[in-house]
This record gives sequence, structure tokens and C-alpha cells, in this order.
Amino acid sequence: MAYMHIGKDFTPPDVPGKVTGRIKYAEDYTREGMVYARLLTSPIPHARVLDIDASEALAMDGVFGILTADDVYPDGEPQSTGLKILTNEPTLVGEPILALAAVDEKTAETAIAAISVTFERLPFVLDPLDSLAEGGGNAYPGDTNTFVFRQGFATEKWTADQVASFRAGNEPTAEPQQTVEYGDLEAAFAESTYVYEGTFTNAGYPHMSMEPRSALAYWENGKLYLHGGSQSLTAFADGIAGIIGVPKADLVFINEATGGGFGQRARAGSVPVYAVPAKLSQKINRPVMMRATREEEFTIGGARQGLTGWIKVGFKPDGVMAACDLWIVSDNGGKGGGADAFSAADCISVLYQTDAVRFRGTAIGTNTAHRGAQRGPGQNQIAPIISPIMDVAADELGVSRFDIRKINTPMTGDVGGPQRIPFTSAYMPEALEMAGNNLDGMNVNHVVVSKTAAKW
Amino acid sequence: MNPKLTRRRFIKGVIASGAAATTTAAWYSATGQERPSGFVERLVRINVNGQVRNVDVEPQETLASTLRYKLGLTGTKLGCNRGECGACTVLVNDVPTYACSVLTHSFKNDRIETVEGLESANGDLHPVQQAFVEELAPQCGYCTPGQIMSAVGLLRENANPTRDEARHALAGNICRCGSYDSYLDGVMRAVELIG
Ligand code: FES
Ligand code: FES
Repeated sequence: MAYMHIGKDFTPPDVPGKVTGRIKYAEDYTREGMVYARLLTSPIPHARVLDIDASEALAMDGVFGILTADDVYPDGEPQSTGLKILTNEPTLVGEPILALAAVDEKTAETAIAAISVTFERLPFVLDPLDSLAEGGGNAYPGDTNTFVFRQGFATEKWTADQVASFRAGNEPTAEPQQTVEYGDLEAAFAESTYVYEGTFTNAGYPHMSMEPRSALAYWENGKLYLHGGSQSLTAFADGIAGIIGVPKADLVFINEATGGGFGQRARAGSVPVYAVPAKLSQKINRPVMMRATREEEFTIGGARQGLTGWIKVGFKPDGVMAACDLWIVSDNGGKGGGADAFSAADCISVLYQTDAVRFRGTAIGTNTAHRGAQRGPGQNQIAPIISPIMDVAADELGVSRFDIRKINTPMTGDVGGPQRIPFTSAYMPEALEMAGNNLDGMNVNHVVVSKTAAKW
Repeated sequence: MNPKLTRRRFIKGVIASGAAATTTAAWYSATGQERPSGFVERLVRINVNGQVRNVDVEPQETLASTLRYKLGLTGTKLGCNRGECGACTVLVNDVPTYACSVLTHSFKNDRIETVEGLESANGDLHPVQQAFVEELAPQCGYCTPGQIMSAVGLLRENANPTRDEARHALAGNICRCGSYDSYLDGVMRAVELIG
């Protein structure tokens, strides 16, 4: 079979435009009559908008109109933890409350400063364990802190003793929202000669693409022309059409280049703010450019889920990972969420071919950044947790830190995850071998060392 | 940021221009206030990519704004608009400069170069551009124009840099895609192409 690209050198078609500056990102476009939108965002982590007085702003020269949550959701905001286009109940600092269009950005900002928004402050929480504790604040609307699939918002609490015990490093005793397991965990731990047990916390760091989430929109002959950045034109265009409420056939989504996505721009639900210039343009009948700032990227841009967990791992005398028991409380932020915690357990099962694995997890909202998919969801959070455990186990069992990884690595035909899915090809042993050969002369036992292991 | 154009110099520039953040025609029209007597928009002549351009520049307008929104030179990117990422890097008299953090009116007698000005008249890529293509250095490409301008500035000052010197020269250009090594490969290949 003749391949077009495999085995041949070629220049991807986007590269010349990237080195000459000719390729266009959303903010590089312009349109005759274009006006500029700026956002008024929440200064409070959890609040309810009681009143918006924009009369002074709307009377200013050069101001064309505003857009509020009532405009975009005339039947009420959707009941979900998903990011909204605009909202009257912000659950994180920086969530967009309204947008204003003006002749230029300075005029828009001057006008926004003249808008008076009356907020009712609501209790907020920054740590999922604080929210789980009886009496702790709840991040979501209606004094709730979790979202149950097909059921909606709910509230989950642990006793003070349960939270304190988990904080002290013990296995949680509360009922998890989700349990997935395979193999005989008890028997596998019984076979283990070294068992590691401990707790961990990692923060969910943000995507922070270099290109801010700017967008330009205008309507012509009943069609919406929207310039934005995405990771997949086809997948994204359908989603954003639904969010805006325009038939797919009437949306022309233009996306020549995207300045980084990292999972955040895979689906339109993570970037509903693109609907702001689209809706505003429809309302004021002019092309609208909305240039997002870096500060806005920090607030309406997303982050991974942060994971707080307890882990117990058993190793046989030869270094084979026999059992892994993992309990994770996920920080779902003020909006969004994900399945990172389960993916973390899945990753251990796949990468280390563990005989028995149990995953238990609970996801709780906090009034922090929006959470969503980021490359390697779950796998990247668990890597710095499991790697030092491998090192400690190797040292305890007298196996080299290099060999303990080779012993446990998956091979073609092995299976992984709770559904025991077979791998059609896996070449980790060869990769490790090559790495070992290339590191000849170095002490490979120390190559994969992690400094955090000593502290555990 | 290059030592000749510090944040302090930027702030001093704003003060020297007599500009508060909002002393513009737009502001006066937006607020309905009278313009002070003697207020004029500044028609500035700046030399960009070898061409003298007349531009209507507001007192507090940054060079990045002028290039992108007045002159249509959108190859210069804005990643942070606050002197932190380097996406807006251009050359001013051969010195890599964050265009988001300097005021246009302070460059009336200077040579400004953007990524659009690097190709030769017959369309050949500059050796740094060519080398970045050959090394497939860009990923998303948003930081690429800034990386290129920093590399061109380096090679004008030091035609034969070590990889470490190149790393130092590009240290003010963040690449969120993490393509740093490929950009360094590009700089070293450009050295070879220039010969
Ligand atoms: S845009 Fe100028 S340094 Fe980031
Ligand atoms: S290539 Fe994407 S930020 Fe550098």
C-alpha cells in the first residue's frame, strides 16, 4: 500500500503561514462596521444577581447595547454544572454576567464601569473537603454541592469525624458516589510483601492557551458567521450551534488556526462565551468582536480537576504490582467536571497491569475555576503520585527502580481497565530497553527517582 | 524583556505623553465631556518594515495595537498584553521589544520590524523562517512570530550563538505548547543556513 505521508518528509500546510504571520487566528479578522464587546464578570465567588441597572451606560455615545443572561436564556438558565453563556448565579469569580458592545473597547469599558449590578452574596467554598463536612459551604445553586447524572443537583455530606479521619491520612469510610473494581483485592493484598498506604492532593492546573478565547461574529442573509478557535471544526461547530440556538445549516464556523486548546477547545461546552458576540451581533445588528483578556483566561478558562485521595498499593516479592485500592475526592470547581479520578485508576491498571484494582470516588463542587478535559485527564494527576510509590517499593523489595517498571509494563495481548480490554500493540518494554541502553553509563536506578518519595 | 526597554521606561513614557488612561477622543465622546482646548489626535510617522507609515495614534496607544489594529499587521500576536509572554515581540532598531508594553509615539525615529517584514522582495523566507519550517518548530503557532523576531534579533547581534546563548535570547518568549527545543533547533539550523 502506498502512503501519502508515512515514511516521507513533508511540510504540513499550516507551517508556512505560522512563520510568516499570514495564518489567521480569530482575533486577526476584521469586518466592516465591527464593534467591540467587553464582559462584566462576577467579582464574587458565589452570588445571585438581584438587579442590573445599565441605564447610564446605555445612554452613552458609542454604546450599542448589552446582553444579559435573561436575553440568552429567556426560559431560565439550564440546570447543569456546565458553563453558561452568561449567568445570574455566578459560582466562580470572573464568570460573565453581561456583555456590552460599543464603538471601541475603551468606550465599552467606560460604559461597563457605569453599570450597577446588585448581588446577593452566597456562601462559598474552596476545598471539596470543607464542603463535604457538615455545615460547610456549598458551591452550587440551591445550596447543593454535587451533580448526580440524570438526577440533577444534590447535597452530599460526611460526618466531621469522617472528614477529619481522611484529612489525617486514613481510608475514607463514607459511601462513594462511584465504585469500579476487578480482581480479588483481598487475595492480592494477602500475596503482597510490601504494601504502601498514604494520602495525596494535587491541584488542577489551568490550560492557559496562548491565544485568548476571542471571537468575531456577524449575521448575513440569515446565516451566522462565527470566527473562533477550536480543536475540531466538525465536533465544535455542531456544539456551538446548539449553544447559540442556530440551526447547524445556518452556522458558518471559520477557524483557520487555533492558538492552543489542550482539551479546553475540544467541545463547545467549555467555550460557551463564543456565543456572546453571536447573540450580541444578532441583537444590535452589527459585527461584534469580543477580545478576551489574559485575566479572563484565568477565570473563564478552565483547569483540570484537582484530586484529593487515599491510595494503598501492594507488591509481590518480585516487584509485581498485585493490588491497588484508590479512593478519590475530585474538585469539580464552580462549573464543569470530568472523569479524571476514574481515569487515574484506569491508568494504573493499564500501565502497571495490576492483578486487582478498586476505585472509589466522589466529585464535589467548589467555587473555583471551571474544570474540564485536559490532555491526559487523570493520567497526568496520578503519575506524580504513583511514580514515587514505585521507587519506594523497589527500594523496599531490593529490585532496581528501572526493573520494577519493566516487570509491570504492559505488552501486546495484555488487558487493561475494569473491562479487561486487550491491547492490540504495546511496546513499552522495548521503549524502556532503549531508554536503558541510551542511558548506558548512568545509574538507571537513579534516573527515575522522585524527590517526593522521601517525604512520604 | 530587553534591558533597553524596561517596564519603568514604559511607565515614564505614559507620563511623558501627558496621557491618563482615558484621554482620547473616544472617551470624550463617550462621556459627553468637552475636549480640553489644544487637544489633537496625534498623527505619527513611524517606520515599519522599511516603509514610513502615517498613523493616527492615541497618546496611550501601544505599538502592538497600532501594528495590529491600525496597520493590519496581525502577525504580531497578543498573548497577555502585559509584558509577560513575548508573543508580541518585534524588533526596534534590531532590539527584540515587547510591542504590547511600549507606546507607539515613542518610536517616531526608529526602525520597527515585524514578522511580515522578514521575507525578501521575491518572497523567499528569511533563514530563520526557513529553518523554523524545516525543524517544524511551530505547534499552534501563536507564539511563533515572537520566537522568530527574538531569534532574528539574536542572530543580528551574534551570528554564531551557542545553543545556550540562543536559549537565553528566547527566554522571554513563552510557548505554552512546549515547543522550546524545536525553536532552539530552528535557531541552530538558521545559523547553518546563513553560513
Ligand atoms: S503580549 Fe506582549 S508580552 Fe505578552
Ligand atoms: S506553538 Fe503554541 S504557544 Fe508556542
